[in-house]
Amino acid sequence: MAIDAAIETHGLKKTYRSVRGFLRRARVDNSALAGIDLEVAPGELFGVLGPNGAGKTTTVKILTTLLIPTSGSARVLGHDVVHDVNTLRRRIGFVFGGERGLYTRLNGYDNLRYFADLYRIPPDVSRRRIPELLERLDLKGRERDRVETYSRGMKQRLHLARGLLNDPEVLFLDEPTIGLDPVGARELRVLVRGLVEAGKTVFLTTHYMFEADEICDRIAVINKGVIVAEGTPASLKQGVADVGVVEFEVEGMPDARVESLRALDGVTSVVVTDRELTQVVTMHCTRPGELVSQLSQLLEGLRFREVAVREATLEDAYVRLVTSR
Amino acid sequence: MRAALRAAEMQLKLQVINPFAYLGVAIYPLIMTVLALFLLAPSSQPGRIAYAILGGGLTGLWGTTYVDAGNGLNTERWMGTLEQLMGCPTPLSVIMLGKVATNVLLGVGAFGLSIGVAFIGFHRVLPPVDGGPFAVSFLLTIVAFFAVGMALAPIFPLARWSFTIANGAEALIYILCGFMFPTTGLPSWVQAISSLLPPTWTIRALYAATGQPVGRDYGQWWLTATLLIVVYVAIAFAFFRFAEARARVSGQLARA
Repeated sequence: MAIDAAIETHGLKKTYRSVRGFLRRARVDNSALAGIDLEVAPGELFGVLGPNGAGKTTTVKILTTLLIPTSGSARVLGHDVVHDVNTLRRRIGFVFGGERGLYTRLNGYDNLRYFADLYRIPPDVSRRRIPELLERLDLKGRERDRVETYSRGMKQRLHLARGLLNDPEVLFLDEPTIGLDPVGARELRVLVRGLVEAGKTVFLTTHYMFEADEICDRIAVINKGVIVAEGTPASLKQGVADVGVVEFEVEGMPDARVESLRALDGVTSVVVTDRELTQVVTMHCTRPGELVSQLSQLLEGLRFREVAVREATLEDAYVRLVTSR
Repeated sequence: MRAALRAAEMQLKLQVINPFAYLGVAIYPLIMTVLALFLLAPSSQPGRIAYAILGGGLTGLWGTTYVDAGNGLNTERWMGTLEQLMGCPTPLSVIMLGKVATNVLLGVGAFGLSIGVAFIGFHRVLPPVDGGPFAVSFLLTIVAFFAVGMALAPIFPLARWSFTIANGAEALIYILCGFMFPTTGLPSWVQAISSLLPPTWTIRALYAATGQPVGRDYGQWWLTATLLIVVYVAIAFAFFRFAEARARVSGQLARA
């Protein structure tokens, strides 16, 4: 049966409940998702971009059946993620970033063979598929070594091999390049793009803008549990086409002065990043030239330098979306 | 079935390279056996020697089954693999079936080691045993430990504090099931609790087969133990389903 969407969610909400206090115990609700609506087409590489705590991992865990949403619905390959668990788990794969999630004191082959059996892959298929994956992910020759001797990149490729064991139609990758060196991260991105070209649907979360820009067909920007923008990387950049970026370095910028910059007419966002003894201020505004000419007056009494004006990038679009004035 | 066997094999490999496993399988049971022999063996009563030798072995069998079953799941949590296991099409109960089975087999090894130490180190042997009932009772004891281990294991993915109480619960079973002394000496209300644990009945039969004056109602004890084992296994599978459902709500799987 052909399906229109590989992944679809409607009003997806998740609230974590915890208990605070000892004698006076109080229930505390933390909202991780506040209503997510998504639709991912088959064969698409869909990226979810957002800061830490935005709800990216929670979304992936719901879609991979590891979490039950508080309300709303989600279907993957037409299966309900709450009720059709066993059928769905056979058809999807997931990879979480980081070094955890492997039996590091056992070898790579044992790790893969174990999960092949847990995914109920027939032995004749797994005997053929495991060497294929080891070859494809450049792990051949090291499969009998303990995983603890692998580099971070190799561990991540082993994670990916595990995620591909059941030849999933949809692959979920939660920050797969986190902690990888630039070469390892690039290799992984090439592999992921290759999977999409081979017909798989990939749902990828990341907080690296360039990664999303480079490989994703479409991106959803998520912040505080809601999607604040969705579209192709080009269309998201278009959203900041009318905006220029002014950046400068300053020493000892008081909060009140930051607020006064935010209040300026035409300024859409101001982000301050600490850099050792100085701060880097990034301002998105509609009339950058005018702003630069006013800087001496606006920053009177402060030492600032390295003033630069540039065009907005996807990162700027992202920053504009997840920060408010 | 293949998944359970592979889980058993993985558990064995993980235990072989885990130094702490050797504490549970070899060191602690040996200490228990040696201490019990020092305490009980000077007596001329052969029954006390049976309690010393078998008691030491049973602590090893139970400790390996229960603590490693639970600790195994906690280790999976720390390694971040518990979430991977829960995300597989194979139910966690089936995976644990294999893991607990391995731990039981290792526990049988610990049991044998205790018997060997008693013989080699102290020249003590079990008093003449009633072969058939002893063998049946021992087999049922293994299955009983397996059933209780399976029923308690789901607590570990449910709550991070579970391992804190596990040590206390382990020792409690020594007393409640009469590992080193007859449960008939316990207060009646404690005996009522003991009677709900399948190992209580199989261990009673085990000691009866070594000539202890605890009666010879093998048939009744075995039947009671078997019924309780069936109940515990049923509880285990239901409890696993509940634990998996709860973990999907709370999201505690990934948190170490």
